[in-house]
Amino acid sequence: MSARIVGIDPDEENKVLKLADHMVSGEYLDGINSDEIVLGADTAGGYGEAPEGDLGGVKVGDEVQVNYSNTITRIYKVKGIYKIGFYSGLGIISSQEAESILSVHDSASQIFVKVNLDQDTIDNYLESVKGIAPNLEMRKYSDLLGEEEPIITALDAIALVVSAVSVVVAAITIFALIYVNAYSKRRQIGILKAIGIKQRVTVYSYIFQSIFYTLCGIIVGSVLVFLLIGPFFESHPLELPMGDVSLAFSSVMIFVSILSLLVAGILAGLIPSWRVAKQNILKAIGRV
Amino acid sequence: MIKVENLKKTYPGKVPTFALKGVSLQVVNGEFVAIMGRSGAGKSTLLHQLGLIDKPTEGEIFIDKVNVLELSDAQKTGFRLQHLGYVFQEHALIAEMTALENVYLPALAFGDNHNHYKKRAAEMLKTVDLGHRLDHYPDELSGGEQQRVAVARALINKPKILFADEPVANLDTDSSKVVLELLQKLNKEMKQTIIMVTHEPEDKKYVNRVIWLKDGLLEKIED
Repeated sequence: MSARIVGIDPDEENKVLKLADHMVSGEYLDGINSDEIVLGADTAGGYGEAPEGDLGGVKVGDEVQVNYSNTITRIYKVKGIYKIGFYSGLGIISSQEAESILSVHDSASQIFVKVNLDQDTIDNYLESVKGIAPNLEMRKYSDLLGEEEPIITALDAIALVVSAVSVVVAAITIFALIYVNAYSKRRQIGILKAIGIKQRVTVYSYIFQSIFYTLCGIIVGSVLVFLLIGPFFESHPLELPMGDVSLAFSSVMIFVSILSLLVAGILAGLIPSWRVAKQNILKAIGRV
Repeated sequence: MIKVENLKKTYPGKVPTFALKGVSLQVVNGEFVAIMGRSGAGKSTLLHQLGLIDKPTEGEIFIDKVNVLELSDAQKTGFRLQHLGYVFQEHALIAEMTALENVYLPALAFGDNHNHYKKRAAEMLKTVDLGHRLDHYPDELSGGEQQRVAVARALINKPKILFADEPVANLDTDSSKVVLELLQKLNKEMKQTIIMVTHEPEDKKYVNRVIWLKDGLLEKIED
């Protein structure tokens, strides 16, 4: 059978792709021995139906012969077998071994770069790299997804809709709370106005109340997401055909969510309290 | 001094209600005046116009030569806080606040010094014989005591005029007597100007003058 063989620096690779976390048998490469190979489960065989054929169930410790296209033949000992949600078909050897096969030194055909999206956008990172190496061919992760990209886009859209609905539900809940509270105290509010308490003081007090409710919601939500739901999905990811899916958060997303909740909370407190507070004093105190 | 000229109030509707049809009167500083008349005579309507919690349809109101109807809504709110005090018929205290807190609330809104207004509120409650009830909540007080707290609250900012809208209408005879005697005492000892709406003829003995209204018009003034 044919398979794609890549050479990697295990220490550097572990900072980006973390294939070592997806071993189903044996161990990951340590970069010391050049006669070892890690196989994808779909290449090794024995882990379900392989779309492009397999080696019929190779085990850790078995030896496999690899015939490279440049006529070099090597025999490797299988050190481990990995499996990821996508097609697990690569054969992985050390970068030193790959360089010796290809007769090159200190060069690479591909570099995977992990960026911190909390600090900048992916497009800005691409621009920065382009400034250093203008001839480098660069692709975003989404460009490499191929058929999976619409699914990712759909999941992002679902997350956006769920967030928007959550904000609306939170705003309606706070609106109802403040409205019922303010309406039931309209006589009290009318008396306060009659004795000279400014309308805005009453409105501010209800806005503070709604901010308090919002902050409580944010705290409870954060505890649920970061201490319960997040860790649960981390250990029990959703198994989709494209791969395992768990919850992902960025600080920008969290900041936007908190900000939109606060704005919605303030509006939900402002509107009903302002409506009740602007009511005619005599109507409020029941003298008309 | 309060000077009212040709005060009219019409409530719009399919059939407009002419609650005040042109009332003119004067109340001098230090007076205790009762506004009396039958139901629908316009007593409370007149009090609400004088107290700036409603807008008359026509006419003028001068309080110490200030044409108060020319003030903006915000200025009226400030004027009420600084110069006018109110005692309502019932349920006028904030249930979640103690007697002391209810009394110092207007002083707090006025921006008075923290220690100063607390001390003054306590003194005011002593004046209305509630010095022993400072930390009691409204539901722990009798109706008469609640009204005396309301009187103390109305006086905390040393108003020029105290308005009382049927302050004893929901009180028993003994409590009514205590509240009315308190108002009389405040008028005599502190020269507090008081304008009170009442429908009880026997309340006349506590006041200096009675302004009688009938069908939205001044009927007579009784000394």
